[in-house]
Amino acid sequence: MLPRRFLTFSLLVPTLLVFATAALASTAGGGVERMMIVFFISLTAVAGMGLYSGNSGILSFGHLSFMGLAAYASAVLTLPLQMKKLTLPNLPAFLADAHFDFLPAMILAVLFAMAVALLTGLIISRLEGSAATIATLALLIIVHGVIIGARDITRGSQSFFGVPRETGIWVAATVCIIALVVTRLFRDSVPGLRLRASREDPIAAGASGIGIKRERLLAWVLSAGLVALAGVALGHFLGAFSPKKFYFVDTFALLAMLIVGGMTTMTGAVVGAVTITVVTEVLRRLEGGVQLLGIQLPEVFGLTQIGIGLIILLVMFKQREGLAGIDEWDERILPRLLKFNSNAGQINTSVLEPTRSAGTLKADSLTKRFSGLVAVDQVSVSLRPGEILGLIGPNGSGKTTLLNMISGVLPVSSGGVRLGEKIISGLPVHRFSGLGIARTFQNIRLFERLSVRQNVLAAALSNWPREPVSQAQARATAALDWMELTDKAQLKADTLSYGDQRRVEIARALALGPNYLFLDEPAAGMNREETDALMQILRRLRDELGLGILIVDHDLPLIVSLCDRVTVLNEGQLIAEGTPEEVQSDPAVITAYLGRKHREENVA
Amino acid sequence: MLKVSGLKVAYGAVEAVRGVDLDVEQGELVALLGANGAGKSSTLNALVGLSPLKAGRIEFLSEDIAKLPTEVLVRRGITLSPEGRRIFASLSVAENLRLGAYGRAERDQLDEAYDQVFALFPILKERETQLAGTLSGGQQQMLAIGRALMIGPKLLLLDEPSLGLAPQIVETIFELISALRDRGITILMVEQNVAMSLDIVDRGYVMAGGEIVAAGSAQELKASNVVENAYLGTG
Amino acid sequence: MLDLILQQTINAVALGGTYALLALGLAIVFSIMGMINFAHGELMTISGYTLMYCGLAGVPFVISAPLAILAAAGAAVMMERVAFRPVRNASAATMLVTSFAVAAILQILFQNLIAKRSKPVMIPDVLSESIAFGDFLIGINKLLAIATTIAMLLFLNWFLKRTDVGIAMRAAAEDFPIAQLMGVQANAVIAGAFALSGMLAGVAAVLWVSQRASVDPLMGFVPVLKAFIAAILGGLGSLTGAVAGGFMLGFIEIYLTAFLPEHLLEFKEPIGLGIVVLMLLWRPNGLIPAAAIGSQKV
Repeated sequence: MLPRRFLTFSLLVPTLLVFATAALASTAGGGVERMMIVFFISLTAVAGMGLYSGNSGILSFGHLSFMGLAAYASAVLTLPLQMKKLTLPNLPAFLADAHFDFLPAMILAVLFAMAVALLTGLIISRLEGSAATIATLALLIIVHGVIIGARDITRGSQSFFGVPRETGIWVAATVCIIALVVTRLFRDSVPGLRLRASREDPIAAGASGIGIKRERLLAWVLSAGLVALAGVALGHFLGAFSPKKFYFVDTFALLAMLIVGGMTTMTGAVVGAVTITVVTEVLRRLEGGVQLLGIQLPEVFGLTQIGIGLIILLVMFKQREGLAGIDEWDERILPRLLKFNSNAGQINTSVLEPTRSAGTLKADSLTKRFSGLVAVDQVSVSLRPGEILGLIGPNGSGKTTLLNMISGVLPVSSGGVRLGEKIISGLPVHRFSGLGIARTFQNIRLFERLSVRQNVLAAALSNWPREPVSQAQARATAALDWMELTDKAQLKADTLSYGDQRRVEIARALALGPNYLFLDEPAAGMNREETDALMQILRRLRDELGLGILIVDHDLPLIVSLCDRVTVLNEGQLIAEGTPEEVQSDPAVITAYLGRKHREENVA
Repeated sequence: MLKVSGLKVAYGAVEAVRGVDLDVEQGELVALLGANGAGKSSTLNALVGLSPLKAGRIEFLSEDIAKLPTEVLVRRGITLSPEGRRIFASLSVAENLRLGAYGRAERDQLDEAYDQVFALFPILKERETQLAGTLSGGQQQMLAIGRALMIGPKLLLLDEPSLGLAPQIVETIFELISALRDRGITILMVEQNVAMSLDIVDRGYVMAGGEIVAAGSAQELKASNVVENAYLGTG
Repeated sequence: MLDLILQQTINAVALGGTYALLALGLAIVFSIMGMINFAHGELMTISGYTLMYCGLAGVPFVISAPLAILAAAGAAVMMERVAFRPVRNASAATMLVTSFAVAAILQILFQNLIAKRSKPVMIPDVLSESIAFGDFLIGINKLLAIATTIAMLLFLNWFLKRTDVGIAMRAAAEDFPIAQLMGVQANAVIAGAFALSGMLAGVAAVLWVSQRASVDPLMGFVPVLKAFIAAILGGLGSLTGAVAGGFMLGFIEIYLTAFLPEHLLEFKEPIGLGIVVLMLLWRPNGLIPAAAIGSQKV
């Protein structure tokens, strides 16, 4: 997240650019001005689509339906009354007598589209990935059908004409700036960061307390609003349009802009809109057949569409994130230019202390069955604040499964988990962090394309009960400092070394202010020095913050020197419990690790 | 038969195998031992092109096979029974076996291959039409090994054949493995059950931290405590 | 009334069967590659144009129909080789967008190279006749559609359960690396999946054209849109689900057309899709979800 003054700067620059371009276009007038109006309107729509698709990672084919709904709504509201009687004789009474000026009509139309988005969003936000995308496609078809069917209001598939031509270059520019600013602000807002985190890794997001149903709905409704704004502007620019204008051909063109530029950023929206507009303008001239170097080129219908198609293919083959990548222009330039330190200010590690008082964590005869196979069989463990419990056992003994059940990632087949007096098994996973339980994963799960700081901040901001943003930021800062990641805070998580990535995972867990920390093979892939440093950090977490730590690892030297108690699993069952020394010399453990017949002769 | 030198496997920034040398002679049964995370499975997977090879030479029947894709390696006669069995749960037992012979050129020997597998694992014959996902763990392991045998491998790689199985079943599986060796199949296996492995293998390698830390005959390894140290972190 | 219901049920089975074939084609590719092929409709169109050209060349329908199916299968394999292989292991969104671009390019090529407008296709007269069953008439084309759908479903069932390649495809859909470990060639099994999916699109196209006797550059667009929705309704990636979703959608559409009051008839499309969406609200993973969903490794 950029500091506020940089955000202001990064918003001011595109604003000035848009106005400057608008001023130039209005002096040029004529075709140039009209082209720029269309460009600004397209950019508005693309930015709006990016607000949803970019942050959630779900491609939408349905946004043009909001454009259409809003265009029609505003057109009906602003149509002169005598015109209405003539062209729409069967209009329902409340619309027949209604007449609004451009601005109020625009607001009403946008609100109307947002209301429809709210209803449809309730359904679409329940679907994931490709299924959600196809549902947005259904939305486009449904709305198109409704617009054609409601011929008393819309004149069906015929042209709706007589709409006051209110959209000039300045209206288009203003609408465009609104869209760019809203998109940029949303990206850096708390819901935006949550959505992006979940886009990168939904499972890790859940375990970090990030529930995103509401955020996804919010993004959907906001983006519908922006696209609707573009729709109103377009309607009042064209003066006459039919439902076809808000269907597949234009969806293709706008999606092309979104994808070619890169859908995750405002910068991408601008780059995409410029690229596709330029390509379209060039190809359109060739389409009619021109004389080039003395050769008469044939007339090729649809050359622009082929060109756009090829550009999409090229971008997908060579640069899947789009031409602008996944960072905003200012995120690339400003940190390097100004060397700002986002962690400025005092680091106060006391903010990491658990905010809740927690009782003992007790897992009681937990069992997990996977289609007939018993992975964990009636295992009970308990963990108190201020102790480190090691969980060891051979491969496939059920350690990770047990950890996943206690942390709520996997549902239990039978048995229960209690925190103090409260039964917590069965709660949704994103509630666990709010109860003071945080974890890391065996196969590192970071929000890869977010910065280290954003990884940690996304978790800090999702703590429960909700707290002021400044508090969360302070905790994120402290967690980074604790894990010695401060100087790497601005780097992308996926560029770090393995050991560093493991530490980011722990920092992210710490940012939740947990009472209990579960670590699944935190030392895997670390060298000896990194492992020693990690052990030092874990001891401090126990001693200074009083955390209860459950650690699964194969590295027995680490377990032995670090843990207060050790629990050993084998074939899903608990076979030993005690101090590291006791466990290490337990015959059952030796057998489990080395095999049944081992050293019978020696032991005897 | 198999000669590996300087094998390195890396997943992104992590080097899981840091330069392994080993060889297996025709007709041998060799174990690759070591604690979890030592790099055993990565080594085995690299031999069949399933884990990303960073460096090293793999010679099989005097040919360098390091760059060949999995599907070609199988046709050359190396196959793997993977860790965690990975049978096709939604396919029947018979279909799993049939797929095991997918790359086999000599189609006329298929009946023989079925007979061989069913002779080794009579239970699979009984369960022929059942979906593989509904088998017990031990039966699934037998199916995984049986499936690997269907192609008539020259070199069979077994990854943790005793994983997650009850002790009696483990014994059965180990007996089967020595029976396979007696039939002349060359085997390289990764196992955690050191004691039982050392009872049946000819030679063993011990891995720790992605490297080979010890090698020797089964007798030598039994006598030394290097294996125990590698597992328990003692000494 | 009973007659009407029976008549409409036959129509519904005929239409639903076509959707089912298309949805199956989508599902086969999705289950193996995780890709939604937006250009599936263009395969149908290719098949339609093959029928048209064959008709113009005087090739009899019994020969032109298999040729048309073959053309779609060949085009599908080529599409994968040229456009989809470079994005094979990319995200679902990347693959979707790629196929979207391919569809757009093909549509324009059809418009430029063949015709912008709808062209007539010669269809044997016998297909437009009807057979009388007691009081009501059934179009031969409807019967043909139903019979072909059943035959295709039986063929597919045989292919996937009884042939090596079919079993390899099912295995690859479940666990691709292990299928390769069995000696299954990745390129071959993916090409096979596309060939099969193209073949299904070709069959659907022949049925579609034989009821309409015309073909246009966007011919495949609408039915395949419906097939997407059917595939989602059935459960993305599930083959049985695709068939169930296809028939379900066919029934919804035909019954709405037949029994919706006149003034609502214009809204039959939105209402039909609305019903589907509501069903998804009830079962977000589809009617018969693919097995892989929900068993993701943590």
